[in-house]
Amino acid sequence: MAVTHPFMHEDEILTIKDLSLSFPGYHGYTQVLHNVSFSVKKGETLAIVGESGSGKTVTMRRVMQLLANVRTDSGRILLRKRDGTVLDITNISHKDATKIRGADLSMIFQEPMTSLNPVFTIGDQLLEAVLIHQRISKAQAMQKVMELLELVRIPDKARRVNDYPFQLSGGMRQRVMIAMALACNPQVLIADEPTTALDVTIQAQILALIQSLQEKLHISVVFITHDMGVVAEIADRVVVMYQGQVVEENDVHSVFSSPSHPYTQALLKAVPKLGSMTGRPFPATLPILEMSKELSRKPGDAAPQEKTIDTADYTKPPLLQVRNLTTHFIADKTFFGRTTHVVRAVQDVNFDLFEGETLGVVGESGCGKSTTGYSILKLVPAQGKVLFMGSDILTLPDSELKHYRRDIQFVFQDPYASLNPRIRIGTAIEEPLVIHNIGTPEERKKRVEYLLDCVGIPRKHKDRYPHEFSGGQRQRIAIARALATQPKIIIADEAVSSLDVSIQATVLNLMLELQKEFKLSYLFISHNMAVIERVSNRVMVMYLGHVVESGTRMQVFENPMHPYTRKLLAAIPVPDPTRRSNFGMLSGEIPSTIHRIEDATPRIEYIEVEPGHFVASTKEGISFGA
Amino acid sequence: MAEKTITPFMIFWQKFKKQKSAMVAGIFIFFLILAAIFAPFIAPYDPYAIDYGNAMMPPSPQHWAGTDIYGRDILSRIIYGARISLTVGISSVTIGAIVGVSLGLISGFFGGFLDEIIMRSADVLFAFPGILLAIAVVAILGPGLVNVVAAVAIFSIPTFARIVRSNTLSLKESLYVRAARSMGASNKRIMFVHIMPGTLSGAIVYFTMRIGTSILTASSLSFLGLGAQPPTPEWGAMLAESRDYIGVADHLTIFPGIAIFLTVLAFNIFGDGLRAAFDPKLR
Repeated sequence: MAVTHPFMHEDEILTIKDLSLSFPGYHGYTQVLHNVSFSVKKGETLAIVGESGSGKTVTMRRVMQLLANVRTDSGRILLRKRDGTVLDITNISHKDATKIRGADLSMIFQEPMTSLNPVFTIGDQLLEAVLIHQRISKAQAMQKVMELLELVRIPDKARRVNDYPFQLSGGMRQRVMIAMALACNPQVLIADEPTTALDVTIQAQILALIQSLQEKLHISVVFITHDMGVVAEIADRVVVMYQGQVVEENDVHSVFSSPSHPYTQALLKAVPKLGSMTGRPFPATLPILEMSKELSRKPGDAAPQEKTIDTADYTKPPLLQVRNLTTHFIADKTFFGRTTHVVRAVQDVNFDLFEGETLGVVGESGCGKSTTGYSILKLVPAQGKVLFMGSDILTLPDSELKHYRRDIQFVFQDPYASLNPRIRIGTAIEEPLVIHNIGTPEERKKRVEYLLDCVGIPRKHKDRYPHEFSGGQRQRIAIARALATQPKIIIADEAVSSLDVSIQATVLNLMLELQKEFKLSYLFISHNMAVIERVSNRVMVMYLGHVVESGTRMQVFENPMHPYTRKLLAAIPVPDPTRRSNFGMLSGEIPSTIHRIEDATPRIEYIEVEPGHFVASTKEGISFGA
Repeated sequence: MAEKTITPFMIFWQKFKKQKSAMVAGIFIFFLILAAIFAPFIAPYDPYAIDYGNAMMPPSPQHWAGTDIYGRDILSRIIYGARISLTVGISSVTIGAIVGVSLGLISGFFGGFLDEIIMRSADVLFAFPGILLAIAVVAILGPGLVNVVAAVAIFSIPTFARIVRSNTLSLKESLYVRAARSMGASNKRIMFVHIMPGTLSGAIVYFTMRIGTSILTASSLSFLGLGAQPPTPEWGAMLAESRDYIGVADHLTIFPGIAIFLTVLAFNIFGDGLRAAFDPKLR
């Protein structure tokens, strides 16, 4: 029977009241949570959404008593047990916390690769989870393990139970993690970015699984995420966090239709929405400023407008022509060094890139989109032809290759790793100029300052080191460096994928504005269909190293012909709770690209369904899993 | 963000400051180096001055560490000995480090046949116990301090080469090296601007610890009569001269022994502190 409590309604399981936390740092403690309050109701899915550093993960880890070295400044955490009694778990002992974890509250994490112990089979690990909290015989526990694997829909479970984690794909591992979290029938399942590391088609399957489990088991789910699309897809209620504070708490429809806090409003504008470009031939910037400016904007001020980018020039011959680009990596050799298996990372890829246009390359992990980018600059050994203004880059000797590397620059996904941590950013931006012997030291210094202006980094910061900048600023620095030699083409490999949505939006806007200013061509590689839709003139969809569909953005997005493109589009969570997708139709894993060396390479026939819109014939030997 | 630029050195210093024992060791090494440089001004007596009338005197206000069998002041000899030990230790490891770092860099960066040759040669050197190798080198080249330096330098090379090679291998695959390559940077530039600075932290830690070991090896060789020759005030040689008097006049062996012990210990603790400060996992 439910017991009333001054802080807790009867339908609430978990209540966090006025929670403030501080972390130790160089200069004493820094407060990271400021009076956070919210509740989790019985049987609901509560999404906690926010950008990195907003405190969403820290809050739930504090609830689970998983933080060491923090100072709790104020607040209470209350849990309603199964028998209805309310328990204050703010400062319980380690022993009591262990009893609550698993039995009442259970947590799954972002990285399924590292959350499982690699030296035990998944069966053993599940068995352990079952036996810790329940006094039953091993045989009974084993039966329970099989039930759990059935529950999370792991195919061929009798065989899989004896597999080690490395034998399972990321999606399957996340299913095992969920099974483990459910082993002791928790009341609340806390999922911390459980699908962020997964491909969209796999993400869709995991989201569908969590939804169905919730209905079947009547548990509450707390879903921590940065992705507004995922929120719209599964949440009943939403808590929006920003800089350690709860800025908005409401039901999902209200949050999306009439967000009350300026931060939520800005966040929703920053997310590229799939379908928002329907009917528009040219890419456009997002209608948003930097978050600090958005938040300080007064109600009367004019909102920023979308700017259309129409620099693509199809009258001249293409800048870059790629013909039959093929890249194989050696996967396995015999003892004597003869190659037996190869990874067909890129297979017979053809495309043109025109001046001022953006060609979007989209696909899931392992589809060869990044390798395509590397191959063009000969960063990996490749075959085929890459014609840049008439001459073939791939056959050039290294001495001449250098000239082309001046005209084609790269922006990498991870701005933390692509800048040398020991080199000041001014020097890093100057480096391409030094390499290509452009200008005197004085001119180079001026150019660096100009480039810093272009990307919105204060000039006086040029003597700083990369670690002093945030991820978004670092990506701006990387872009400034790429622009240093006045290149004609920039290959952007997942250039905004590791950034928070509001930062992503400003970096995208920056890239589009620079395109307009310098008539740049982008080869824009991304797994994010919505971003690709926003920035591209033409789109190329890749799957298992092949191009399966290509055409103008309107052709591919508004009239997808290939089953894989359709599947990809269906799997994307749209940030609009009134348009929830039906993920039930999705299943299957992404097959391997490793082949025996003697296996015949499939020749793919392309059908031109409308002018410029090519689709791979599905009659050929590759399965598209759709 | 603070207004002032935070250099990687400042971060290193922040972490190093917290290592109290390493700070103490560092201060000890600093004063040892000062003592070695200014030995003629500090030493109370001429380290070579023989005074048979005062032979084997125990410690006294005139001779703080007593006198040896020829009546020479032991404290003065130890202070002068610091010059020899530090010179031998630092110069031998410096030579070993320069050669080892270069070989490791080449080995890791270019790989293939060159890598095989360098690493297999290193394996051969590793197969010998260090002191045995040093004795062999001195046996070939003849006794003397310069040859001791050569011997110690040679067997420092393979470890430096391995440390730098493994760091090179991982940095070669780093994204910023790939970024430099995509900009058109030459091999030379990638090696020296982007890879080498990143491999040095491991080499510096080993460098410091190796100085301690080298001083010990050099002293051992001198003890065996293969290094510094009498009457040079070298710690190992001093021990060798006095070993017959253990139990009769213990101060003859105790003070040089303490000098060796403290110096080697200080370099090892200092090296440990550096390792902790360079380790990105420790905050």
